[in-house]
Amino acid sequence: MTPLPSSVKKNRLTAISVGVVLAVGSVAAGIGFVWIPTSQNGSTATGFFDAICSAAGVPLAYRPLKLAATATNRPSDIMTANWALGTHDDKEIARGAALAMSCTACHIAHGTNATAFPNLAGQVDAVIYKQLNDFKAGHRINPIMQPIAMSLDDRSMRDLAAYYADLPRTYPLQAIEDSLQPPALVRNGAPMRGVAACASCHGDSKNSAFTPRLDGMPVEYLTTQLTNFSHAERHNDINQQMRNVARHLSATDIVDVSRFYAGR
Amino acid sequence: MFSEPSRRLILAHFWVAFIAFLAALFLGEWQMFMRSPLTAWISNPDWYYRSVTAHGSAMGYVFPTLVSMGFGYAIIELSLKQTLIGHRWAWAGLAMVVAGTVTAMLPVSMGLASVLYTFYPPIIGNVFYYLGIVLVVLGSWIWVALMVINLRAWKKRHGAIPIPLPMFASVASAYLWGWTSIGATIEILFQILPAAFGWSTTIDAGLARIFFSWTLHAIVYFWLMPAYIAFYTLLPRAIGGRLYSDVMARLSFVLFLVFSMPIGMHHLFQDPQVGAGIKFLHAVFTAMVSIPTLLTIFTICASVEIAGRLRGGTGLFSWISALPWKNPMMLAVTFSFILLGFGGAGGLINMSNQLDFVVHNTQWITGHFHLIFGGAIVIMYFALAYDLWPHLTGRELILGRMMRTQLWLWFIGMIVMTFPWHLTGIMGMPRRMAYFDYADPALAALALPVIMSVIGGLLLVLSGCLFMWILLNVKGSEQKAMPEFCFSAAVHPPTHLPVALNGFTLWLALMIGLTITNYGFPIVQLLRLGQTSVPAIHVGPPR
Repeated sequence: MTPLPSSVKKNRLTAISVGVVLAVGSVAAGIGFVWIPTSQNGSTATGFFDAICSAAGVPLAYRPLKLAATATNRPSDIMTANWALGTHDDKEIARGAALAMSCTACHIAHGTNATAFPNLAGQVDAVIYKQLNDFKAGHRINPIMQPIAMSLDDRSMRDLAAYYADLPRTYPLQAIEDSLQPPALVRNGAPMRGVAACASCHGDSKNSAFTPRLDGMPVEYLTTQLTNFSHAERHNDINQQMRNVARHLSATDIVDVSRFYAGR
Repeated sequence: MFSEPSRRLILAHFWVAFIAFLAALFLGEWQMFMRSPLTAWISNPDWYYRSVTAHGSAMGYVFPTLVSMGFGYAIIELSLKQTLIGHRWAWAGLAMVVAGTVTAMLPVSMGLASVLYTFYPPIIGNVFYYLGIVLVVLGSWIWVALMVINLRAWKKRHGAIPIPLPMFASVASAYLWGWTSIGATIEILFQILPAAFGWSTTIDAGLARIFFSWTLHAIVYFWLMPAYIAFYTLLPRAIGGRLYSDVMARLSFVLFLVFSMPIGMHHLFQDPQVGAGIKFLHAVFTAMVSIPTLLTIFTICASVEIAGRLRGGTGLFSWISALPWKNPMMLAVTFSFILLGFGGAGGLINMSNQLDFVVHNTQWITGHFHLIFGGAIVIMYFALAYDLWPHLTGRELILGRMMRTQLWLWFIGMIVMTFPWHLTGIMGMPRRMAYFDYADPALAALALPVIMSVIGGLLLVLSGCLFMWILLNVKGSEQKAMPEFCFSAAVHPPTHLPVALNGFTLWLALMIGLTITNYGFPIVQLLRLGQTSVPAIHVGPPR
């Protein structure tokens, strides 16, 4: 049999190779873009074309889930970020100082105390704003703070937040000897229990994006809040992040981390 | 034989490669030791991540690249029987790789670039780490160009004569590397360096990961090529046999060229920015890339059988005992195939989106790639070094028995290290974590497999040191004339080949076409979507 000329050989191999690649690609595309997406239940895509686009990676239109109607069933209406309230001018701070006169009964003139009330001096402004809003809306339940927050309007809350954020801290008030070495929970968390390290959010950074500064908070306040989170009595953390963590903490853990932060 | 300048050039490549390898080997074992129950935790994870970055970058970017480059230049002279064209460029390429390595390793060792060898945007390390990597890649591109240029020069003189198989495979590898390294280069030049220099405060991490995946799969085939070239062109000759089929060999290499790169998104199965359909497409084509390996296993086993029967072996399997088991190449390929079998099986699991979900980011992944690359491939790097060394140094290697011991140690060490490693992954142990509290009852079961891995790693360190010792112990102080170097002959040496198996145009076209279909839409879409960038996070000491 005469051998085929190399041009014919070339064309045959070329044709087969290109054909195989095209065939494999077409079948794969057919299965991956058409068959699987359109036959999957539970997809939020509506329609054939939508399903194909979704399989290709086009983001679908955002369809937000309906939020629960009542305040107690929603964790909060405020998401904080440390840049959210912008910079504060002296007028805001001055107004806040005036308003804060009535806060000094519990939160003391310098905003720090050794009892069970949280220290506000130097707290992130967005955090104070969020908590006041949450008290007012009923996301965070407290018989003392709720009536007080009801009487505040948005402007007042911003002013108070500005004032306390600007107030210099005087701490620690409680000298706790064994607070020097951070407990393992603060440094490393407890991975097998799904507990993130406290320091990963409540660390030393001055640039805390959305978490309250815990340094120098009273021990009793911290233990109460952690316990409340663990039972979901406090539930104004938007994505349940504090509740998820607190649920796995033992009573000893709560005391350890509270004492650590209180002594800083 | 080698021309004198090329001999020194190739030796330089191998020495730098193996020195980098040995240093990284020690770092790797230190990492295994530090996160095992055998030592108290050093309380600073930063040291661990510096080591992970250095070990990964050296083993991934420096060591195999230099082996490919040196082996490629050797193949030009030995298979084309022509002096290497572009000597100065080749030395410049090596200099760039060395300079790039030093530039990159300095910030890493100072803790300024603990970003791991996959870069992990949006974390951004020191500028010089990335500039160093770019230099290494640019140096390797000089090699790519020289491979192509030298082949062109040969083809001009020899017309349509079949390209010698070693050169054909090497140039396929060069083309593959040239194309696949573009992805990470784009990511570094256009996304990471602007953030690292501070010109941009955000980075599209999803797009960056897509560009990295462009490189990430085919880079392992680039690493694999010298080993496969050794399978086809060194092994049959070394054991006194013939290559079963030259055409099958070429087919395997061109299949690698086509399918290695456009499948990278199987590294992004858990990434949300890539659509499920695209992931499926990549999974299907990943299945295609298993074909050339299966072809290779068949062809090489057949070639080995030819050698066995030529040596007087008979019967269905008893020819195996007739094989030259004292020959290091025989041992190395056998070990490589066994490790390739297990590693490849693990790879098939990773290839499935659903199964990958179970093992993603666990120690299964690290166990897998140490087994397949560190095991199946690096053992062949040893073997090809042993094969070339007498011709490169002009002196015999005298430690024959130690070569076998070294290979056995590597094989056993790799199994002892990686098999328990896979197990810990299935037990849920995450990768890239510096610290585990083995006292916790939930983690206690991990302690024993991890300790076994440490012991395996120790055997590997020993083997690596032995390897260097063997290379250093050449006989005599003067160079002797060595017998002519020859590659394997095929049972049917090719006289006429289809143009497609004697050139690369068709395969390059298919590779580029598949890149467009498999990568085009996700890249364009992410470029056009406005809200896909995230803030860059600079690692290193606080500013």
